[in-house]
Amino acid sequence: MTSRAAQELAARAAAGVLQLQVCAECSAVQYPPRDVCRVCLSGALPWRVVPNTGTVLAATEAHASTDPFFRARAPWRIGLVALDCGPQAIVHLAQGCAPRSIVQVSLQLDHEGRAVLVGAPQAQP
Amino acid sequence: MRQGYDGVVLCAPVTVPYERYSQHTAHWWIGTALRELIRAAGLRKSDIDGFCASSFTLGPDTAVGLTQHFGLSPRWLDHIPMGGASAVVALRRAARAVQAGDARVVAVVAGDTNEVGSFGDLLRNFSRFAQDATYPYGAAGPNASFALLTDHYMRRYGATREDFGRICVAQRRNALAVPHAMMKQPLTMEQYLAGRPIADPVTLYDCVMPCAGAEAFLVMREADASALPHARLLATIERHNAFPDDPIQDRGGWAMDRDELWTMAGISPGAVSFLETYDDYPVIVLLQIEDLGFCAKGEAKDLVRANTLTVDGTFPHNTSGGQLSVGQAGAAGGHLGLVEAIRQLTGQTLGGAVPGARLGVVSGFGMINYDRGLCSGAAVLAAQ
Repeated sequence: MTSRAAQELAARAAAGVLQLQVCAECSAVQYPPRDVCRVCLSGALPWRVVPNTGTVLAATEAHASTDPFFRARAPWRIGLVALDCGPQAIVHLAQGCAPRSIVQVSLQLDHEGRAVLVGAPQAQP
Repeated sequence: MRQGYDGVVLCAPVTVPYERYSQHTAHWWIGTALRELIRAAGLRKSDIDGFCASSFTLGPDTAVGLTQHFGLSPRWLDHIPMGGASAVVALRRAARAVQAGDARVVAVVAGDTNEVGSFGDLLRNFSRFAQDATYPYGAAGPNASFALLTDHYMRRYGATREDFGRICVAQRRNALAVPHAMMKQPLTMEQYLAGRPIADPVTLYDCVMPCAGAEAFLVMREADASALPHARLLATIERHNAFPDDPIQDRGGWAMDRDELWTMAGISPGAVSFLETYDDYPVIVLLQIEDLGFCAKGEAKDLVRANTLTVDGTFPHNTSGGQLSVGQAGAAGGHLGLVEAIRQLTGQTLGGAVPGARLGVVSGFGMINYDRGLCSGAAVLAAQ
Protein backbone atom coordinates (compact mmCIF):
# COMPACT_ATOMS: atom_id res chain seq x y z
CA MET A 1 0.00 0.00 0.00
CA THR A 2 1.46 3.33 -1.03
CA SER A 3 0.36 6.88 -0.30
CA ARG A 4 -1.81 8.95 -2.64
CA ALA A 5 1.21 11.11 -3.43
CA ALA A 6 3.20 8.01 -4.41
CA GLN A 7 0.29 6.92 -6.62
CA GLU A 8 0.53 10.29 -8.36
CA LEU A 9 4.19 9.48 -9.02
CA ALA A 10 3.16 6.15 -10.53
CA ALA A 11 0.67 7.94 -12.79
CA ARG A 12 3.59 9.92 -14.23
CA ALA A 13 5.85 6.93 -14.86
CA ALA A 14 4.40 6.37 -18.32
CA ALA A 15 5.53 9.82 -19.50
CA GLY A 16 9.10 8.62 -20.02
CA VAL A 17 10.72 11.57 -18.26
CA LEU A 18 11.52 12.07 -14.60
CA GLN A 19 8.86 14.16 -12.87
CA LEU A 20 8.86 15.06 -9.19
CA GLN A 21 6.92 17.48 -7.03
CA VAL A 22 8.31 21.01 -7.14
CA CYS A 23 7.06 23.57 -4.61
CA ALA A 24 5.05 26.32 -6.31
CA GLU A 25 6.15 28.83 -3.67
CA CYS A 26 9.84 28.09 -2.94
CA SER A 27 10.82 25.76 -5.83
CA ALA A 28 12.20 23.03 -3.55
CA VAL A 29 12.12 19.62 -5.24
CA GLN A 30 10.53 16.91 -3.09
CA TYR A 31 11.31 13.21 -2.73
CA PRO A 32 9.86 10.92 -1.39
CA PRO A 33 6.47 12.33 -2.48
CA ARG A 34 4.93 14.60 0.15
CA ASP A 35 1.74 16.46 0.97
CA VAL A 36 3.44 19.68 2.08
CA CYS A 37 6.79 21.21 1.13
CA ARG A 38 9.75 20.06 3.25
CA VAL A 39 11.11 23.63 3.26
CA CYS A 40 8.19 26.10 3.43
CA LEU A 41 5.25 23.78 4.25
CA SER A 42 3.26 24.96 1.23
CA GLY A 43 0.62 22.51 0.08
CA ALA A 44 1.05 23.52 -3.57
CA LEU A 45 3.32 20.82 -5.00
CA PRO A 46 2.75 20.50 -8.76
CA TRP A 47 4.57 17.75 -10.69
CA ARG A 48 7.33 19.05 -12.96
CA VAL A 49 9.98 17.56 -15.21
CA VAL A 50 13.31 17.73 -13.34
CA PRO A 51 16.93 17.02 -14.37
CA ASN A 52 17.46 13.25 -14.23
CA THR A 53 21.13 13.02 -13.33
CA GLY A 54 22.66 12.28 -9.96
CA THR A 55 25.68 10.92 -8.09
CA VAL A 56 25.79 7.53 -6.38
CA LEU A 57 26.50 8.10 -2.67
CA ALA A 58 26.48 4.44 -1.63
CA ALA A 59 25.53 1.06 -3.03
CA THR A 60 24.73 -2.42 -1.77
CA GLU A 61 23.72 -5.83 -3.03
CA ALA A 62 21.03 -7.34 -0.82
CA HIS A 63 21.32 -11.11 -0.50
CA ALA A 64 18.35 -11.47 1.85
CA SER A 65 14.78 -10.24 1.44
CA THR A 66 11.38 -10.71 3.03
CA ASP A 67 9.75 -10.63 -0.44
CA PRO A 68 9.81 -13.87 -2.51
CA PHE A 69 10.19 -11.91 -5.78
CA PHE A 70 13.46 -10.37 -4.68
CA ARG A 71 14.62 -13.48 -2.83
CA ALA A 72 14.39 -15.43 -6.09
CA ARG A 73 16.51 -12.75 -7.82
CA ALA A 74 19.12 -12.12 -5.13
CA PRO A 75 21.48 -10.46 -4.90
CA TRP A 76 19.52 -7.31 -5.71
CA ARG A 77 21.48 -4.10 -6.26
CA ILE A 78 20.28 -0.75 -4.90
CA GLY A 79 21.93 2.57 -4.21
CA LEU A 80 21.42 5.96 -2.63
CA VAL A 81 21.69 8.72 -5.24
CA ALA A 82 22.05 12.46 -4.67
CA LEU A 83 19.86 13.88 -7.42
CA ASP A 84 21.22 17.01 -9.09
CA CYS A 85 17.76 18.55 -8.65
CA GLY A 86 18.11 18.37 -4.85
CA PRO A 87 16.84 15.37 -2.87
CA GLN A 88 18.37 11.93 -2.29
CA ALA A 89 16.68 8.80 -3.54
CA ILE A 90 17.04 5.08 -3.03
CA VAL A 91 17.09 3.55 -6.52
CA HIS A 92 17.37 0.20 -8.24
CA LEU A 93 20.95 0.39 -9.46
CA ALA A 94 22.40 -1.10 -12.61
CA GLN A 95 25.64 -3.06 -12.54
CA GLY A 96 28.65 -0.85 -13.08
CA CYS A 97 27.22 2.13 -11.20
CA ALA A 98 29.79 2.37 -8.44
CA PRO A 99 29.76 4.89 -5.60
CA ARG A 100 30.75 8.38 -6.79
CA SER A 101 29.75 7.63 -10.39
CA ILE A 102 27.23 9.74 -12.31
CA VAL A 103 23.94 8.05 -13.16
CA GLN A 104 20.80 8.82 -15.08
CA VAL A 105 17.66 8.16 -13.07
CA SER A 106 14.46 7.06 -14.76
CA LEU A 107 10.95 6.71 -13.40
CA GLN A 108 9.36 3.32 -14.10
CA LEU A 109 6.60 1.00 -12.93
CA ASP A 110 7.72 -2.20 -11.22
CA HIS A 111 6.24 -5.72 -11.29
CA GLU A 112 3.59 -4.65 -8.77
CA GLY A 113 2.70 -1.37 -10.50
CA ARG A 114 4.59 0.78 -8.03
CA ALA A 115 6.53 3.83 -9.14
CA VAL A 116 10.26 3.16 -8.80
CA LEU A 117 13.45 5.00 -9.70
CA VAL A 118 16.15 3.18 -11.66
CA GLY A 119 19.75 4.38 -11.83
CA ALA A 120 21.75 3.46 -14.93
CA PRO A 121 25.10 4.55 -16.38
CA GLN A 122 24.97 7.94 -18.04
CA ALA A 123 24.29 7.59 -21.76
CA GLN A 124 27.22 8.52 -23.98
CA PRO A 125 26.68 11.80 -25.85
CA MET B 1 20.92 26.50 31.48
CA ARG B 2 18.48 23.63 31.77
CA GLN B 3 17.09 22.55 35.11
CA GLY B 4 18.87 19.50 36.54
CA TYR B 5 17.31 16.21 37.58
CA ASP B 6 17.96 16.55 41.29
CA GLY B 7 15.99 14.09 43.37
CA VAL B 8 15.05 11.79 40.48
CA VAL B 9 16.34 8.19 40.45
CA LEU B 10 16.04 5.01 38.40
CA CYS B 11 15.59 1.62 40.02
CA ALA B 12 14.23 -1.93 39.66
CA PRO B 13 15.93 -3.00 36.41
CA VAL B 14 13.79 -5.80 34.95
CA THR B 15 14.39 -8.07 31.97
CA VAL B 16 11.87 -10.76 30.99
CA PRO B 17 14.14 -13.44 29.47
CA TYR B 18 14.05 -13.30 25.67
CA GLU B 19 12.74 -16.01 23.35
CA ARG B 20 13.49 -16.33 19.64
CA TYR B 21 9.81 -16.83 18.77
CA SER B 22 6.87 -16.47 21.12
CA GLN B 23 3.21 -17.43 21.15
CA HIS B 24 2.65 -14.75 23.79
CA THR B 25 1.44 -11.28 22.81
CA ALA B 26 3.18 -7.97 23.46
CA HIS B 27 0.54 -7.45 26.16
CA TRP B 28 1.82 -10.56 27.95
CA TRP B 29 5.44 -9.49 27.70
CA ILE B 30 4.74 -5.96 28.96
CA GLY B 31 2.38 -7.18 31.68
CA THR B 32 4.91 -9.75 32.86
CA ALA B 33 7.57 -7.04 33.06
CA LEU B 34 5.20 -4.81 35.05
CA ARG B 35 4.47 -7.64 37.49
CA GLU B 36 8.20 -8.19 37.97
CA LEU B 37 8.76 -4.44 38.48
CA ILE B 38 6.20 -4.36 41.28
CA ARG B 39 7.67 -7.47 42.89
CA ALA B 40 11.24 -6.21 42.65
CA ALA B 41 10.37 -2.84 44.17
CA GLY B 42 8.01 -4.17 46.85
CA LEU B 43 5.18 -1.98 45.59
CA ARG B 44 1.47 -2.50 45.12
CA LYS B 45 0.10 -2.17 41.61
CA SER B 46 -1.85 0.88 42.76
CA ASP B 47 1.41 2.60 43.69
CA ILE B 48 2.19 2.88 39.96
CA ASP B 49 0.63 6.25 39.09
CA GLY B 50 2.66 6.85 35.94
CA PHE B 51 3.02 4.41 33.03
CA CYS B 52 4.98 4.61 29.79
CA ALA B 53 4.97 1.90 27.12
CA SER B 54 6.95 1.26 23.94
CA SER B 55 6.16 -1.55 21.51
CA PHE B 56 5.95 -2.31 17.79
CA THR B 57 3.57 -5.28 18.11
CA LEU B 58 0.87 -3.96 20.43
CA GLY B 59 -1.55 -3.02 17.65
CA PRO B 60 -4.35 -2.08 17.64
CA ASP B 61 -3.68 -1.08 21.24
CA THR B 62 -1.54 1.70 22.68
CA ALA B 63 -0.59 2.44 26.29
CA VAL B 64 -4.23 3.46 26.74
CA GLY B 65 -5.50 -0.07 26.13
CA LEU B 66 -2.85 -1.47 28.45
CA THR B 67 -4.23 0.48 31.42
CA GLN B 68 -7.52 -1.41 31.17
CA HIS B 69 -5.80 -4.69 30.30
CA PHE B 70 -3.62 -4.41 33.41
CA GLY B 71 -6.15 -2.75 35.72
CA LEU B 72 -3.98 0.34 36.16
CA SER B 73 -5.36 3.83 36.86
CA PRO B 74 -2.36 6.08 36.25
CA ARG B 75 -2.61 9.86 36.42
CA TRP B 76 0.25 10.15 33.92
CA LEU B 77 0.45 8.05 30.72
CA ASP B 78 2.76 8.06 27.72
CA HIS B 79 3.45 5.93 24.67
CA ILE B 80 6.80 6.38 22.94
CA PRO B 81 6.98 5.14 19.32
CA MET B 82 10.68 5.87 18.85
CA GLY B 83 12.27 2.42 18.59
CA GLY B 84 15.90 2.52 19.61
CA ALA B 85 15.58 5.99 21.14
CA SER B 86 12.46 5.16 23.12
CA ALA B 87 14.11 4.42 26.47
CA VAL B 88 16.07 7.66 26.70
CA VAL B 89 13.04 9.64 25.57
CA ALA B 90 10.75 7.80 28.02
CA LEU B 91 13.23 8.48 30.81
CA ARG B 92 13.30 12.20 29.98
CA ARG B 93 9.51 12.45 30.08
CA ALA B 94 9.17 10.34 33.22
CA ALA B 95 11.93 12.18 35.10
CA ARG B 96 10.28 15.55 34.57
CA ALA B 97 6.86 14.16 35.54
CA VAL B 98 8.27 12.81 38.81
CA GLN B 99 10.23 15.99 39.46
CA ALA B 100 7.15 18.16 38.91
CA GLY B 101 4.93 15.93 41.01
CA ASP B 102 2.66 14.95 38.12
CA ALA B 103 3.46 11.34 39.03
CA ARG B 104 5.22 9.69 41.94
CA VAL B 105 6.22 6.29 40.52
CA VAL B 106 6.52 5.87 36.75
CA ALA B 107 6.86 2.38 35.28
CA VAL B 108 8.74 2.53 31.98
CA VAL B 109 8.15 -0.70 30.06
CA ALA B 110 8.99 -1.88 26.56
CA GLY B 111 8.05 -5.25 25.18
CA ASP B 112 7.46 -7.00 21.90
CA THR B 113 6.53 -10.42 20.73
CA ASN B 114 8.06 -12.13 17.71
CA GLU B 115 6.09 -14.57 15.62
CA VAL B 116 7.23 -16.23 12.41
CA GLY B 117 6.53 -13.66 9.70
CA SER B 118 5.90 -10.71 12.01
CA PHE B 119 9.19 -9.04 11.04
CA GLY B 120 8.05 -8.92 7.42
CA ASP B 121 4.78 -7.30 8.50
CA LEU B 122 6.72 -4.67 10.43
CA LEU B 123 8.88 -3.88 7.38
CA ARG B 124 5.89 -3.55 5.05
CA ASN B 125 4.15 -1.10 7.35
CA PHE B 126 7.05 0.71 9.01
CA SER B 127 6.51 4.26 7.77
CA ARG B 128 4.91 6.08 4.86
CA PHE B 129 8.23 6.98 3.23
CA ALA B 130 9.45 3.41 3.72
CA GLN B 131 6.29 2.03 2.08
CA ASP B 132 6.58 4.45 -0.83
CA ALA B 133 10.30 4.74 -1.38
CA THR B 134 12.27 2.02 0.45
CA TYR B 135 10.28 -1.22 0.63
CA PRO B 136 9.80 -1.54 -3.18
CA TYR B 137 13.61 -1.57 -3.59
CA GLY B 138 14.20 -5.20 -2.67
CA ALA B 139 12.28 -5.43 0.62
CA ALA B 140 15.54 -5.97 2.44
CA GLY B 141 14.58 -3.79 5.39
CA PRO B 142 17.12 -2.28 7.74
CA ASN B 143 19.85 -4.60 6.45
CA ALA B 144 19.93 -2.69 3.17
CA SER B 145 19.46 0.74 4.74
CA PHE B 146 22.38 0.22 7.10
CA ALA B 147 24.41 -1.39 4.34
CA LEU B 148 24.26 1.90 2.45
CA LEU B 149 25.32 3.86 5.54
CA THR B 150 28.09 1.34 6.27
CA ASP B 151 29.36 1.43 2.69
CA HIS B 152 29.57 5.21 2.82
CA TYR B 153 31.17 5.33 6.27
CA MET B 154 33.88 2.81 5.37
CA ARG B 155 34.91 4.74 2.28
CA ARG B 156 34.78 8.15 3.93
CA TYR B 157 36.58 7.31 7.18
CA GLY B 158 38.62 4.21 6.35
CA ALA B 159 36.94 1.86 8.80
CA THR B 160 37.34 -1.82 7.96
CA ARG B 161 35.25 -4.92 8.50
CA GLU B 162 37.73 -5.91 11.22
CA ASP B 163 36.76 -2.75 13.11
CA PHE B 164 33.10 -3.79 13.07
CA GLY B 165 34.24 -7.30 13.98
CA ARG B 166 36.03 -6.02 17.09
CA ILE B 167 32.72 -4.61 18.36
CA CYS B 168 30.80 -7.81 17.62
CA VAL B 169 33.44 -10.14 19.06
CA ALA B 170 33.77 -8.12 22.29
CA GLN B 171 30.02 -7.95 22.75
CA ARG B 172 29.74 -11.70 22.30
CA ARG B 173 32.32 -12.16 25.01
CA ASN B 174 30.28 -9.89 27.30
CA ALA B 175 27.11 -11.83 26.47
CA LEU B 176 28.45 -15.27 27.35
CA ALA B 177 27.77 -14.54 31.05
CA VAL B 178 24.17 -13.42 30.40
CA PRO B 179 21.77 -16.37 30.79
CA HIS B 180 19.04 -15.23 28.38
CA ALA B 181 21.32 -14.11 25.53
CA MET B 182 20.19 -15.49 22.16
CA MET B 183 23.83 -16.04 21.16
CA LYS B 184 25.54 -18.42 23.54
CA GLN B 185 28.59 -19.48 21.54
CA PRO B 186 31.89 -17.58 21.52
CA LEU B 187 32.55 -15.60 18.34
CA THR B 188 36.02 -15.28 16.87
CA MET B 189 37.22 -12.65 14.40
CA GLU B 190 37.68 -15.44 11.83
CA GLN B 191 34.07 -16.51 12.25
CA TYR B 192 32.91 -12.89 12.07
CA LEU B 193 34.80 -12.27 8.81
CA ALA B 194 33.44 -15.52 7.32
CA GLY B 195 29.81 -14.57 8.05
CA ARG B 196 27.59 -15.01 5.03
CA PRO B 197 26.77 -11.86 3.04
CA ILE B 198 23.47 -10.16 3.93
CA ALA B 199 23.68 -6.77 2.18
CA ASP B 200 27.25 -5.84 1.22
CA PRO B 201 29.23 -4.84 3.24
CA VAL B 202 26.93 -6.00 6.05
CA THR B 203 27.34 -9.70 6.88
CA LEU B 204 25.64 -12.12 9.24
CA TYR B 205 27.23 -11.11 12.54
CA ASP B 206 26.58 -7.39 11.93
CA CYS B 207 22.85 -8.10 12.20
CA VAL B 208 20.75 -8.45 15.33
CA MET B 209 18.42 -11.40 15.75
CA PRO B 210 14.77 -10.35 16.14
CA CYS B 211 13.21 -11.99 19.19
CA ALA B 212 10.53 -11.54 21.87
CA GLY B 213 11.23 -9.97 25.24
CA ALA B 214 10.68 -7.08 27.61
CA GLU B 215 12.75 -4.56 29.55
CA ALA B 216 11.54 -2.22 32.29
CA PHE B 217 12.56 0.12 35.09
CA LEU B 218 11.03 2.56 37.56
CA VAL B 219 11.55 6.31 37.77
CA MET B 220 10.78 7.78 41.18
CA ARG B 221 11.83 10.29 43.81
CA GLU B 222 15.05 9.60 45.61
CA ALA B 223 13.19 9.91 48.92
CA ASP B 224 10.76 7.16 47.87
CA ALA B 225 13.53 4.86 46.68
CA SER B 226 15.76 4.98 49.73
CA ALA B 227 15.27 1.26 50.43
CA LEU B 228 16.05 0.27 46.84
CA PRO B 229 19.37 0.21 44.99
CA HIS B 230 19.08 3.12 42.57
CA ALA B 231 20.98 5.22 40.06
CA ARG B 232 20.86 9.00 39.74
CA LEU B 233 20.13 10.87 36.52
CA LEU B 234 22.68 13.58 35.72
CA ALA B 235 21.86 14.68 32.18
CA THR B 236 19.97 13.86 29.00
CA ILE B 237 19.67 14.99 25.38
CA GLU B 238 17.17 14.26 22.62
CA ARG B 239 17.05 15.28 18.95
CA HIS B 240 15.00 14.28 15.91
CA ASN B 241 15.86 14.61 12.22
CA ALA B 242 19.22 16.21 12.94
CA PHE B 243 21.31 17.49 10.02
CA PRO B 244 18.58 17.01 7.38
CA ASP B 245 20.82 18.54 4.71
CA ASP B 246 23.54 15.89 5.06
CA PRO B 247 23.19 13.93 1.78
CA ILE B 248 23.85 10.62 3.59
CA GLN B 249 23.93 9.97 7.31
CA ASP B 250 27.33 9.73 8.94
CA ARG B 251 26.45 11.60 12.12
CA GLY B 252 23.44 11.79 14.39
CA GLY B 253 21.76 14.23 16.74
CA TRP B 254 24.31 13.57 19.50
CA ALA B 255 26.75 15.73 17.52
CA MET B 256 24.34 18.67 17.89
CA ASP B 257 23.73 18.25 21.60
CA ARG B 258 26.73 16.58 23.21
CA ASP B 259 28.19 19.78 24.68
CA GLU B 260 24.94 20.32 26.54
CA LEU B 261 25.01 16.69 27.74
CA TRP B 262 28.49 16.94 29.25
CA THR B 263 27.92 20.42 30.66
CA MET B 264 24.69 19.35 32.32
CA ALA B 265 26.34 16.20 33.72
CA GLY B 266 29.33 18.18 34.95
CA ILE B 267 31.79 15.57 33.72
CA SER B 268 33.93 14.87 30.66
CA PRO B 269 33.81 11.72 28.51
CA GLY B 270 37.03 10.48 30.08
CA ALA B 271 35.31 10.07 33.46
CA VAL B 272 32.78 7.54 32.15
CA SER B 273 33.02 3.98 33.51
CA PHE B 274 31.10 2.33 30.66
CA LEU B 275 29.07 3.11 27.53
CA GLU B 276 25.87 1.46 26.33
CA THR B 277 25.18 2.29 22.68
CA TYR B 278 22.32 1.31 20.40
CA ASP B 279 23.91 -1.42 18.33
CA ASP B 280 21.46 -2.49 15.67
CA TYR B 281 24.47 -2.44 13.34
CA PRO B 282 28.09 -1.82 14.35
CA VAL B 283 28.51 1.24 12.12
CA ILE B 284 26.01 3.06 14.33
CA VAL B 285 28.15 2.24 17.36
CA LEU B 286 31.04 4.08 15.71
CA LEU B 287 28.81 7.09 15.01
CA GLN B 288 27.72 7.24 18.65
CA ILE B 289 31.26 6.94 20.02
CA GLU B 290 32.32 9.86 17.83
CA ASP B 291 29.26 12.07 18.07
CA LEU B 292 29.06 11.75 21.86
CA GLY B 293 32.61 13.06 22.01
CA PHE B 294 34.60 10.00 23.08
CA CYS B 295 36.88 10.69 20.10
CA ALA B 296 37.02 12.92 17.04
CA LYS B 297 34.94 12.27 13.90
CA GLY B 298 36.29 9.36 11.90
CA GLU B 299 38.48 8.12 14.76
CA ALA B 300 36.18 5.59 16.42
CA LYS B 301 37.95 2.93 14.37
CA ASP B 302 41.17 3.81 16.22
CA LEU B 303 39.35 3.73 19.57
CA VAL B 304 37.98 0.22 18.98
CA ARG B 305 41.43 -0.94 17.85
CA ALA B 306 43.04 0.42 21.03
CA ASN B 307 40.56 -0.99 23.57
CA THR B 308 39.13 -4.38 24.51
CA LEU B 309 35.53 -3.06 24.81
CA THR B 310 34.88 -5.86 27.32
CA VAL B 311 33.35 -5.65 30.80
CA ASP B 312 36.68 -6.50 32.42
CA GLY B 313 38.87 -4.51 30.04
CA THR B 314 39.27 -1.01 28.66
CA PHE B 315 36.39 1.14 27.37
CA PRO B 316 33.67 -1.29 28.55
CA HIS B 317 30.92 -1.16 25.94
CA ASN B 318 27.52 -2.86 25.70
CA THR B 319 28.37 -4.74 28.83
CA SER B 320 25.60 -7.35 28.61
CA GLY B 321 26.36 -8.12 24.98
CA GLY B 322 23.95 -5.64 23.44
CA GLN B 323 21.36 -6.50 20.87
CA LEU B 324 24.01 -8.03 18.63
CA SER B 325 24.39 -10.93 21.06
CA VAL B 326 21.38 -10.81 23.40
CA GLY B 327 18.85 -10.26 20.60
CA GLN B 328 16.57 -7.43 19.47
CA ALA B 329 13.24 -7.70 21.24
CA GLY B 330 11.60 -4.92 19.22
CA ALA B 331 11.23 -1.72 21.21
CA ALA B 332 12.72 -3.48 24.23
CA GLY B 333 15.96 -3.35 22.24
CA GLY B 334 15.86 0.38 22.78
CA HIS B 335 15.67 -0.21 26.56
CA LEU B 336 18.28 -2.95 26.85
CA GLY B 337 21.19 -0.53 27.29
CA LEU B 338 19.44 1.67 29.83
CA VAL B 339 18.31 -1.28 31.96
CA GLU B 340 21.83 -2.71 31.79
CA ALA B 341 23.28 0.64 32.89
CA ILE B 342 20.99 0.66 35.95
CA ARG B 343 22.17 -2.88 36.71
CA GLN B 344 25.84 -1.90 36.44
CA LEU B 345 25.40 1.13 38.71
CA THR B 346 23.36 -0.72 41.35
CA GLY B 347 25.31 -3.99 41.58
CA GLN B 348 22.55 -6.08 40.00
CA THR B 349 24.18 -7.36 36.82
CA LEU B 350 23.04 -10.59 35.18
CA GLY B 351 26.49 -11.10 33.66
CA GLY B 352 29.81 -9.39 34.23
CA ALA B 353 30.17 -6.22 36.30
CA VAL B 354 32.42 -3.30 35.38
CA PRO B 355 34.79 -2.93 38.36
CA GLY B 356 34.06 0.25 40.30
CA ALA B 357 31.43 1.53 37.88
CA ARG B 358 30.34 5.03 38.96
CA LEU B 359 29.24 6.78 35.76
CA GLY B 360 27.48 5.28 32.76
CA VAL B 361 26.36 6.73 29.46
CA VAL B 362 23.39 5.32 27.56
CA SER B 363 22.74 6.23 23.95
CA GLY B 364 19.68 5.65 21.80
CA PHE B 365 19.09 5.71 18.04
CA GLY B 366 15.91 4.93 16.23
CA MET B 367 13.60 4.83 13.31
CA ILE B 368 14.89 4.57 9.74
CA ASN B 369 11.90 6.49 8.42
CA TYR B 370 13.42 6.64 4.93
CA ASP B 371 17.18 6.82 4.31
CA ARG B 372 18.46 7.51 7.84
CA GLY B 373 17.72 7.10 11.53
CA LEU B 374 15.79 10.10 12.80
CA CYS B 375 15.70 9.81 16.60
CA SER B 376 18.71 10.15 18.85
CA GLY B 377 19.19 10.63 22.55
CA ALA B 378 21.58 10.00 25.42
CA ALA B 379 21.61 9.99 29.20
CA VAL B 380 24.33 10.15 31.84
CA LEU B 381 23.65 8.07 34.96
CA ALA B 382 25.57 7.93 38.23
CA ALA B 383 25.80 5.41 41.03
CA GLN B 384 24.05 6.21 44.32
